[in-house]
This record gives sequence, structure tokens and C-alpha cells, in this order.
Amino acid sequence: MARYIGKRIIYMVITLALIATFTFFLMKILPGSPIASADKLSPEQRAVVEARYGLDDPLPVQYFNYMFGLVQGDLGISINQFKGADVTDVILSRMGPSAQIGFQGMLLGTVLGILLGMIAALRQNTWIDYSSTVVAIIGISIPSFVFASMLQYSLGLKLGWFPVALWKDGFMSSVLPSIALAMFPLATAARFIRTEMIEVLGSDYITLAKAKGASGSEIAFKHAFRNALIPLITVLGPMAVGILTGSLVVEQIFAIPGIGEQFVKSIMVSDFSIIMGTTIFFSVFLILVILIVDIMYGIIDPRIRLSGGKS
Amino acid sequence: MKNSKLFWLLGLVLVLSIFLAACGGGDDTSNETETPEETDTDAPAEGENAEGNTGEPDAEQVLNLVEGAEIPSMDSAIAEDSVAFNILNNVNEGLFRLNEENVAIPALAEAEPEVSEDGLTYTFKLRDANWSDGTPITAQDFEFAWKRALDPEVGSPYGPYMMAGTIKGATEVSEGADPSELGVVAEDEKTLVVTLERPTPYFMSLMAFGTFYPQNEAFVTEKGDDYASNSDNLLYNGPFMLTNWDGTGLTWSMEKNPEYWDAETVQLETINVDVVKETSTALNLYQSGEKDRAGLSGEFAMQYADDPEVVKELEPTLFYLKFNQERNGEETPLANENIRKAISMSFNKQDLVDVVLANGSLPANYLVPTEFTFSEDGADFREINGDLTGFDAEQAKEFWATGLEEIGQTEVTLELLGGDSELAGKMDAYLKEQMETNLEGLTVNLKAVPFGVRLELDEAQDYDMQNSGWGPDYQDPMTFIDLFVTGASHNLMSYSNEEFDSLVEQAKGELAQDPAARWEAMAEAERILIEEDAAIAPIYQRATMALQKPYVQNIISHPFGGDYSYKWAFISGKE
Repeated sequence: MARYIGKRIIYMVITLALIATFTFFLMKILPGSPIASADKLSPEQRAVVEARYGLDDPLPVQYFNYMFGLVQGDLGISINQFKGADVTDVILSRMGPSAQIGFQGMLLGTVLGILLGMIAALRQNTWIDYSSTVVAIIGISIPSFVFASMLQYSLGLKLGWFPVALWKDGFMSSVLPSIALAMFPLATAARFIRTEMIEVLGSDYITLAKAKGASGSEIAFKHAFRNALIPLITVLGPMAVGILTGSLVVEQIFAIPGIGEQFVKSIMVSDFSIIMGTTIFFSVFLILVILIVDIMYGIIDPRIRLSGGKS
Repeated sequence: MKNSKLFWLLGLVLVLSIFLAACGGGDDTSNETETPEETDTDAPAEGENAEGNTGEPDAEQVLNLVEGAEIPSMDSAIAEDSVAFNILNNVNEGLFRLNEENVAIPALAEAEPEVSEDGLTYTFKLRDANWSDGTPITAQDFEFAWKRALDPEVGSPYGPYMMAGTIKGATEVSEGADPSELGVVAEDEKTLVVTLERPTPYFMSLMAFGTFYPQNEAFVTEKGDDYASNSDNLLYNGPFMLTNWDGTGLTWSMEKNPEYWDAETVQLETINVDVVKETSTALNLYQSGEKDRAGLSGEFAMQYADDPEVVKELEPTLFYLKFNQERNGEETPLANENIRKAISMSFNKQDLVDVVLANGSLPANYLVPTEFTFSEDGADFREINGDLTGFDAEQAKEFWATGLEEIGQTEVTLELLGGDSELAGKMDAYLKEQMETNLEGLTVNLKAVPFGVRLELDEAQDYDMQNSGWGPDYQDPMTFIDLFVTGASHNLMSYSNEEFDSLVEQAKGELAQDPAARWEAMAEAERILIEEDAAIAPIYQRATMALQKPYVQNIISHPFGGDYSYKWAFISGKE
């Protein structure tokens, strides 16, 4: 197991280096200058500002400077979003709210999704099943920003149950954004659990369990549920991606000081160092999620062998 | 079983009700991608004061605002965006400040400066005033801040931009020369002597601009890299002090500054600001009563046009079509004067502002905005020229026929370069439709690109027509006029007219000390540019709309520098 994890970490570092390289060059192709008032400055004046942020070096030099800094954990300084601020500080200061709504959204979505999926499977082809499918389709097909706006308008402004926006009332402020983010994992989990449960419920050992006189709930939870969970773990990775991309707009709509909101802005103003730093941060997060998913596999189902592992 | 059915039914109803409630309100989530130039429309806009209700100020003086973007930097030497300049205008002060009538009046300067005969040397006497930590503000603070803004190490964009060509030696110092060559000397603690490159009639209004604010050397040096990194690492000398700003956050406050020399004028105790980038969110916060103002950008302007709480504000920002006369080394059809004239008369601007923009913008038949610059006796610069080229479909057809004959073609295809926001798209589509209808044989191809790309294409002069805009950098018609002199960095369309150039030269040189003649020269230059040469075709002067609670009084909006002053604002009748 330890060897397996070690190997995975090496792959992770390689992946990250590739991501950083691609992002770096893609970003340099982006049109537009990170200097906000570029249209007003003379070429000489612009050169002075570019020199200040090392943007005047040849591209390969900039690249190696950046990668060298990255290895030492230095993500550089912001060029225009927060002029001169350390990118690491910017990301750290924005991490809390994102982590909170992301985690709550994921938890809420998966738990509700599992419940919905299970009930649908156990009551297959009844109206309960159909309405759960409708909910799942709505969750998948309505983008989270539409959902976020609806929640804000209805539960926030009209009913006044939760704050309309802003990050000022602790947990209450996080409820609506978390629900908005939960829709995607909810729908995904519901669909997967339903399909898997139906398949498992039709298998021989369930028939055997029934024949032996096991009760309905015992079959559902003890036998069917655990086996149906495994495929769900596979989609945890994509679900995390969904939460992450969802957070870009959901944070903006609820005016939450999170990373996603700040990432969007950094791209709009071409703040190279912030774009790089945030991309790398997101990548690390996703790669870690995938690693955890793979490790969880082994724990939940010992039959799935990790290469080289003899657990 | 019965219960579970009920439960699901309930759930379904709840989900549906969310949809219905949201749709019923006509709620809209536009993901606006505004050009940087347009972002300030989200700012906690302005104040044509709400009418009536000019009663006594309330006991509680708290104003709640939204802002459209974060603060990139509170260092006055580095600031280059509307958010920072707006806050700087309220928490700091320069030698001069724009008053409620938008006239620059002495602020930290005790009185109008002494100006030498040749108009090149200004001697300012400072009033007794303190920084928020109690240290006196000295002339050295100005000298230090201005030199810092020119230091290549600091890398300020606006320092060189505002000072080069105006203050003696600024260009050289910004390129690395010895800072002592700069024409700024603190003769003693209260005397600042500034030497200019050339007489600058609008120099006082420049003194109200953020880049020219003072900085306390001891404080800046002590803080080092941390200077201006959050609200504690700054000193204030204006009506308010910035508080609760962590440097990267979406929230901050401004508290009344007890050390401010004119503190008795200031009525607001606290201004709470939150960054809200979505217009729809800002409107929801406004309607829930958490915020006192919300900007109405894009299609929201039309939606709320009849709301009694709407306030309109005319901005000195002008939008116009640039006609590129030479693309990739070859003359375009736009090199022909009659073709240009035809196009500039071919579209109905009134309909454009009424129907497409619907935000109170004015159709513009001019370059220098109205309600922007005033002579000493208060006359608007616009009164000299009035309207120049306007919409006239019949005349446009005549010019078009002549023009086509002159270039020997019957059909012309032109590209119209514009922004990629929804509003820009609608506007350009309207222009295309108008031009093609009124000018037979003209085909207009629209090209919508992000702001950064448009700048690059502009620089490469790789376009035919471009929907472009400009906001002022100082309070003088020249900030618009000299964009189009031969070889100017904004010209980029191969327009060149000797007479125009010489008029601009005169206004900058020998006429600098004769305000009336100078204005005449600039007005004549404007007339040549638009009426005679049709080098550009003005489209509209932008206005913005905002919702503002009726109890908010006296927020003053400014045509340049910081967008708003809260110094005179107060809350009356909220309870």
C-alpha cells in the first residue's frame, strides 16, 4: 500500500508539472495585457511596468523563473488583481469559504442523492421513482448558476429564510450556496445509486437472501447498499470537479469571498500569477481527490487490487 | 407509506415553487462580461440627489454600498482603477479637491497657489492638517509621493502617465534619471514648489487626482513591502478612514476621520462596502434593504427605467466609431472623406440610446462631452460648437454616392470591430442594420472580441471601423482632443490633418495662458475633426442608472478621478 501511494505521488508531481507548463503557455497566448491601463501608456511607460513584474524577459526565461519559484513553493506576486500581494496569501485567505460551501454541498448532495436513489430503486417504476428521476434530470441539466439565482430570489429575497448574499452571517450565509452546489452531486448520486441498486437487487445472492427470509430493510442496507456504493465512489472525482466549477459562479452570485470567485476575476484581468497559482491549487486538490478515491476503493472492496499492493 | 408519499409530493412542490417564484420575478442571471472600461457602471454610483426629503440628518449616519470589483491597490502611487481612485478620493486628499459643483478648490493647499508670470512655477502653501496617526502633513510628503510614483522600481502606470510632459523632468525620472531632476521641491514644511514643462491650464484639477496625493515617507519606509497591504498599513488624511480591509477581501468600511481638517462638514459615521459582481445580486440586496444603492447595468437599466428610486447620472465618457484609413499598409475605402461622412450620418443615434441602450445615455454629435468642462464664468465647453455631424439619411446617401464614384466602386465591405458584451453586440448589430439600410452597396461585417483583443487589433491598426470609447484623465477638453493628433498613441487610424495638429499645438503652447482663445482653438479643432474630416463618428455619451434609497442624500459624482464623494452625503428620513 505504502509503495503504491508513493508511486502515485510521483505521478502526481509529474502531472502537476505538466499542468503548470500547459497553463503557463496557454495563458501567454491569451490576448490582453495584465496592465489595466495598458491602452493609455506609451510603449516606454509600459516597458517600465512590465519590467517591474518580470514580464519583459523572454518567454523561456519567464517559464523557468516561474517553475523554479514553484518548486520552492513560491507562486509569485499578483500583477493587477491585488497588486504586489503574495499569490499564496491570496489563495489561503480565500480558501475557507470555498472549502466550507464545497464540503457542505458535497455532503448534502451525496447523502440526499443516495437516499433518493435508494428509494427510487426500492420503489421501481412507481411515481416515487419517476419523480426522483425528474429531480435528477433537473439537477444535472440546470446549471448551478441558474439554480443559485432562483434560490437567492425565492428563499433569500422573497421568503427571507436565509441571507440574500454576502458572507456575514456565519453558517446561515453558507446554506443557499451549499444547496446550489449540492444539486449536481445529488443528481449524479441519485442516478448511480438507483441503477446499481436495481442491478444488485436482481442478482442471485439477493434472491438467496430473500429465500432465507431476510427482511426487506436488511436486504436493502446490508446486502444491496454496500455493493451499490462502489460505483458511486468512482464518480466522487467528477463530482468534486462539478463542485469546483460550480463554485466559480455560485460564489460570484452569492458574493462569497472564495477562490472560485477570485479565479474568474483573475482571468478577466489577465493576472498571470493568480491564474497560475489558482490553477495549480485546483489541480492539487483534484489529484488528491482522485488518489483518495482510489485508496477508498481498496478499503470498501478488497477484491479490487491495487497494483503492487497485497492488502 | 402514506407519509412517504406526502413527503415526496411536498418535496416536488417545493422544487417547483422555487422555479415559479424565480420566474415570476423575471429574475435574470446574466453573466456579464464587461470591458474594463464598463466595469465602473457597477460601482456604488453617484448622486443626482433624490428630490424632496431634504430634512434633518438622522441620528444614525450609516451608508451601505456595493462595489463592482475588489481593491487592487490602495497605494496612491500605484492605483490605476476606478475602485481604488474612488476610495482614495474619500479617505485621502491632495492639494485640491473637486467640490460639489465639480470645481477644483484648495484642500490641503491653504489657498490658490502663486503662479509665476510664465505659468510654469506653482508655489503651494499647505494648511495645517494631520495624518490619521496625528503626524502633520508636510510638503515633503508630496515630494516623496510624486517621486515614488515615477520610480521605475515601483512600476506605477499612472505616475508616468499623469506627470510626463506636465511636470518638469518627469519623463526622464520615470525612465531612471536622478529623482532630484524632478521639478518638485519642498522648500520648507509648508511650501511646495512645482515647476512645469509647459503651462497647463487644468493643473489645479490634476491636483485633485489620486496619483498626486501625499504619502508619509517615514510610514511608507517603515512598512516596506507591507505598505498599503491592508487598511492598518495605510495612513489617511481625507474625510474618512478605510477600515476592515484585509487586502484581498470583498468587504471594507470607511469610518469618519476625526483628524480630518474639515471633519465638521462630514456627516456620515460609517460607510459599509461589499463587493458584489452580479448586478442581479446587488439588486436583490437593494430590495432586501441591506444596501442603499445598486447600479443598473445592461438590460437591467431598461427593466427598472420607470422605478421611482432610479437616479440617472451622465458620465463624461464618449463612444465613437474610429474610421481606419490605412489597414495593413493599404488605403481602406474609409480614406475617402465622403465615404466617412456618409457613414457618420447614416445611423439614428436617438433611437439607439432610446431603444438599445435605454439607460439615459445621450446621442452625441460631438467629441468633448457635455457637462464636463466649464469656463471661468460657468459656460459649458459644448456651447461653442453645439451639435456637429448628426443623423441625416438623405445627406448620407448623397455623400455615399459621391464617395463610391470617387473610389470607383459600387460595393463596399467593411468590418466593424466591437466589444463582446451583450450590450455591445446589440449596439453593433443595430449600427450594421442602420448603415446597410441607408447606404446601398455597403456590407458591414461585425467582429465582436474581448477588450484585450480589441486593444491589440487597435494597436496593430487591423480593423476598418471600431466602436471605441474614452473617459477623461483630467478636466479639460484636451483629454479628448489630443487623442487624434498625427501619430498620437490613440490615433491608430492614420488620420492626419495639419490644421488640426497646429490648433492643438497652439492650445497646448502659446494660447495656454489665454483661456478664451484656447477654448476657441480646441473647439475649432473638434469641428475640423468631426464636421470637416469626419475622422470619427461620435455615437453617444454614456449615462448610468442606479437605484438609490430616497433617504440617501448628497452623494456627489465626479467627472474624473474618484467617481464619488461621500464627504457631503448624509442619511435623512430612514426611520
